[in-house]
Amino acid sequence: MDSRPARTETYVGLVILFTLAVIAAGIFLRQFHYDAALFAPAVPETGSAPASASGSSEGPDLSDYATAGLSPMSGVEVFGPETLSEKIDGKAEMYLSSGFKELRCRRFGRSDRPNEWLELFVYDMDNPRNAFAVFSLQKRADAEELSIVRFSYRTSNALYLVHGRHYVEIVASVESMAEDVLAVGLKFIQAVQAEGANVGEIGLFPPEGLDPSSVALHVSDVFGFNELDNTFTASYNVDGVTVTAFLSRRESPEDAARMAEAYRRFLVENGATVTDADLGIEGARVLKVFDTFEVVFSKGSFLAGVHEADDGDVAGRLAVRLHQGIR
Amino acid sequence: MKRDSDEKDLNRRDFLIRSARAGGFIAAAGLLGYRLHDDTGARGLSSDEERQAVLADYSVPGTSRKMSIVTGQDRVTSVRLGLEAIGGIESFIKRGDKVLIKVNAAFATAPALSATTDPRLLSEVVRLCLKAGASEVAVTDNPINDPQSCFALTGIGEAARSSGAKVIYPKQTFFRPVTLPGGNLIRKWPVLVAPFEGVGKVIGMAPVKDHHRSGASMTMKNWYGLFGGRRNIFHQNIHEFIMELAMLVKPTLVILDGITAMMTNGPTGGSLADLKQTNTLVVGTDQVAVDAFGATLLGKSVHDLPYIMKAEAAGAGTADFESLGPARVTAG
Repeated sequence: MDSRPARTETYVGLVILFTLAVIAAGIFLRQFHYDAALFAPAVPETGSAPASASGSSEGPDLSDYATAGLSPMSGVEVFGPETLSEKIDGKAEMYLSSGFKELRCRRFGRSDRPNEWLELFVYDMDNPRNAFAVFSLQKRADAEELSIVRFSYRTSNALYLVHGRHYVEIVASVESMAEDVLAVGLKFIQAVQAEGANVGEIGLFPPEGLDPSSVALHVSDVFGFNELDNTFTASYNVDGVTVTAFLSRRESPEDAARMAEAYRRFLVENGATVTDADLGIEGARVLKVFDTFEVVFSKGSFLAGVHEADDGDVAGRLAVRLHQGIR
Repeated sequence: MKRDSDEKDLNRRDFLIRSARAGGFIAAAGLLGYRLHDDTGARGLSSDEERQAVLADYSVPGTSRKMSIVTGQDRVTSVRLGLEAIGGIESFIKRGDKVLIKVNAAFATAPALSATTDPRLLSEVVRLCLKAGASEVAVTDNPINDPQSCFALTGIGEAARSSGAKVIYPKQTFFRPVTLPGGNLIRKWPVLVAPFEGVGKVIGMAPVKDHHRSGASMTMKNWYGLFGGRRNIFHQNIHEFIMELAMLVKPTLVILDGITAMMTNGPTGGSLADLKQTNTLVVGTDQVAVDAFGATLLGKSVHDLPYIMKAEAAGAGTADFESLGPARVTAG
């Protein structure tokens, strides 16, 4: 009886063993060149040039926007999605979830007053809607609205605006640089071509009782529900009670109805109970979420409702007005 | 086919021999892998080295429940009164002590924006430590932005030097992998350990700030600045991480500056409109209690900041700051 393996089997076996040996040798050699990034501290050496992190090194160095009396204190810094947190730490998540592409920033100082300087931040948010989103989510209360572009305001030491796909912040170290801050902003607007943001949904919020400065766009993971995106919120004062309305344009009436049902289900899964309140709106549901009330309905291609209202009656009345405003 | 005839000819004896050989090879390969396995990981430490890399306990015995809450507008006066109310700086800093102050120098922003430790407050604390007999005071942080710019533009570098402290800028060689015993997140992670060498006392100094991810940044979150590497991944589990920070660092004292609080758009802020005069400064030895009080300055409770309750549950301190009987002082 010949129990020896066939020649073909021998060759196949040798090839497999050789391949395994090559892999083993590769692993052995590779361990001497492990990825140090996991352990090596991300420490910019002191005095080193500012980061150009993972963003593109090509592009404007922002020096064109410096006005008279200002000169660069540092080189331009560029950050991409992987490195944004190296500049703004915990706030990076908000930008990343809103479509962030790149941040360019640079400091400029007053030539005549060494302790006075400002920093220009230009966030590329991919499109004007995303730029409006991060602008609206950080809007400062009691800020002075400006008309230099549709969405712009300033505080005592800073200017914030949306210009095309860019969200721009100009922050000064002292209040006395307010004019420099405004001048840099105007220069940026004049120098950069931009299209306006398509945020027509804002006009659907009924004006009575609306706080116009509160209108915000949430690009993703709205109200903790990861299926819900692209949603506007606005604060109302109804009989002295502050209430939040929301509105989201979906792709079709069917999609809006499906999302309303999915959101209602999400709330119930998280402890909400459906009340028997009848608002006279077809398909509308009023839910009690612990001590607050939530109204959810769809109309045409819009999902809409009222979020976390302390008073169910007030929530219902605002929902009816919101429903009437959607055309 | 020959293959078919081979398989047909395979008898029981040959089968057992081949099986034994195959088993032997597998066992040998497993044994070889076991012998070559490096349980400390790439560039890791031995178990003994790892134990040494864990930060020491810098608290002073018998002072674990000291806390004062000062109402005032002037940081210098407030911190003096706050320290006096818990026994004076001499209760914590002894002659010859080497003191390390961990500031928040995270961002290259102006002091007026309150995103970082106030330089005037730092100067006074350094001065008090030296007056109490400290042989050396050092100030350190591993900022989010370029260290040189951060220490310069925040005024922290100049404040430290002019008051007699030395500034330790982070360098790659100052970091060593540290593991928190029993920790889930802090495992062999590079920590700014070198500034702690030879140090007897550690003071944490942080401003009160809103924080987009954690809800608030105060004394416990301040230790994040000791970490290197891709530390932003900890933001995915921020409350657990801050709890572990509180377990990792046992300071002598913490000082929470709520004279001006960043109420919105933290941790960077940027606008003076983000700030509010809350006119309160807290000094204490229990960082959990200090942060629990600090939450109230932001209009929040400990239930809004899960890391505080987690830290209490882990034994890092108490969220019931009133149970410490904090001294309440008004700074005129």
